[in-house]
Amino acid sequence: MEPTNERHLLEALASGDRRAAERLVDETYRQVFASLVRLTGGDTEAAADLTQETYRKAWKSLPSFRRRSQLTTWLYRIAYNTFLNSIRRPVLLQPIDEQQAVAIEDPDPDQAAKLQQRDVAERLRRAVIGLPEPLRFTISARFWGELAVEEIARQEQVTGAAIRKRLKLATSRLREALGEDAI
Amino acid sequence: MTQPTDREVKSLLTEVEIPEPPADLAARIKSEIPADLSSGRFEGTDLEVFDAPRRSPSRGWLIAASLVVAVGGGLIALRQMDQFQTPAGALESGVVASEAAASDAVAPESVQYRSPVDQSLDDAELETVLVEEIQLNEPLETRSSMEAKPDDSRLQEKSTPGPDVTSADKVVVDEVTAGQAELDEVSADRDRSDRTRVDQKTVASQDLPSPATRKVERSEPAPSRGPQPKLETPSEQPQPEAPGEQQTRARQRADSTGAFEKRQAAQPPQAPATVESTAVAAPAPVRESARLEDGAADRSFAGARAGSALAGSALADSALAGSVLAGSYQQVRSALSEGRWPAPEAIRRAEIVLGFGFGGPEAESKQESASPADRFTILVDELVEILERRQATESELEHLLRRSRALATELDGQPAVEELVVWIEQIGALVESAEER
Repeated sequence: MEPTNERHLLEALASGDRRAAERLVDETYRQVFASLVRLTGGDTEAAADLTQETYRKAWKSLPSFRRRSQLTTWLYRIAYNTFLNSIRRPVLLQPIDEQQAVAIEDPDPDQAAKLQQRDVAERLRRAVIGLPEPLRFTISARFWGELAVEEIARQEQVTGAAIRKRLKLATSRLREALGEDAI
Repeated sequence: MTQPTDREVKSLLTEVEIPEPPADLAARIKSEIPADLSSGRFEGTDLEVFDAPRRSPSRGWLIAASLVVAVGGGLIALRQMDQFQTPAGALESGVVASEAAASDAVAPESVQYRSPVDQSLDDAELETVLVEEIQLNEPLETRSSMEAKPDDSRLQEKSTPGPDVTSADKVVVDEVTAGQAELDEVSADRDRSDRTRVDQKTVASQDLPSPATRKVERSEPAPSRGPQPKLETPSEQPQPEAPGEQQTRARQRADSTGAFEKRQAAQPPQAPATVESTAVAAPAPVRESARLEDGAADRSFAGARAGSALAGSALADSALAGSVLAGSYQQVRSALSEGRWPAPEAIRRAEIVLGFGFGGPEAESKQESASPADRFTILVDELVEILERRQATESELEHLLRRSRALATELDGQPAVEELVVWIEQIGALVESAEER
């Protein structure tokens, strides 16, 4: 979203313009949904529910938005927190138990390579979620939220260099985590 | 699989295939846009599912009220426990209850001064109260006149205005006035006897007599402190100084300590109700007051105990206090009479002070610092100090003796001061004999 457009949009939202809110949804919900799909490991239903919940919270906190960061960054932060809350509530993300998994027939038996790739992606996702908080948000916002380093720095109220250091450290940790899992 | 490189990790992070969002997702989100965006309030009910349960304001008030009730209940329970643990508190509450009840029925019965020493106290409290009592001790005439005054502050404090208070007060005043007249006779007789005894003492103590001589002198009836074999009224006995005086002083002390009942019980049966016939104003109300307290204690603990064990223990404590009070005094007195130092454990200042039963005048105003009562207390303090260390210099004893004699002369041979003088002389003899050895 262009900064000029975003400023106009925020002014319209502040005046209570409903159409401005609908425009905001149209321009951002795909990105929010995509980040949540990555965070949830490809669970589109959960991601859709979390996207809906993210916007509920956004409407509620809109009057307190201080414009320290872009709207998309702010929305990603809400989505990220919503996801973390959801994984603390096991009701929303119920793992498929073993019997259920066996009962589901694989539609394409030749896609072993794809399964292995998904397995690696899942391990990577778990490793990201297992990182300590500053690293976890930074790397998820950079790669899953597709936010710029400077934008994350503004959101975190640190310098861009600090965010780069965090990214380097987080990548190193993830590498170690994937290597241990491989052993 | 070896460890992936940083580039591989980053590519893995970005290589996630993103499916298309559900078609109705945008519509669902838009349907939940609140009507008033600035306030952030939502329409619909779906949000309630995700809202954390909020604490209602009334719940906070309930918690606060519960805390207040719990703390208050605890304090009340502690207070009740304190009252049950100390019979003094129980007795006091019982007296309050009895006074409330008695004021409705017979107002004069509540018009009694009840000394706090009547209650059982621990040693420290007892000593404090006794010293205050001694210092506040008025002559019998003064006390009687105070009790006779209907506008006395103590009378006002203790009496609860009832429907017949005026007439009832009048009855009390009449009774006390009648007693006062007879009391004056007793006092006049006592004054005469005191003067006679002072003369005898002065002659006897011109040159320090030997302990044996003093022993004989002590065996004379006048300053005798032991149990009186017989009590007679002043009218029956032409020279009533010893028994009458002792009775009067005993009455006076019993008014504040409750020890009188104990002594009466210890007396032989052939000396019975002559005390009643003396019509001394102060004693009769004392017994009435004790009866009231007894009944009040019974009523107070009626629900808390099966029998009257607690009230009995409270009264037993009072009686015990009376006997203990006389104990130290008697032990020290008998030891000195026998020409030996009293045992250290027998020396208890408060009991000795009370045992003397000083009835001298108080200071007329608060500015007057050295009233006879104060001076007597100081003298007893110094005496007790000497008794405790079992040692005294000659000059110290002479100084103490001179001041005691001066006080005795000033008070026309007040018996307690006379007794003090004798004790000092006996201690002087003890010190002399020790030096000779």
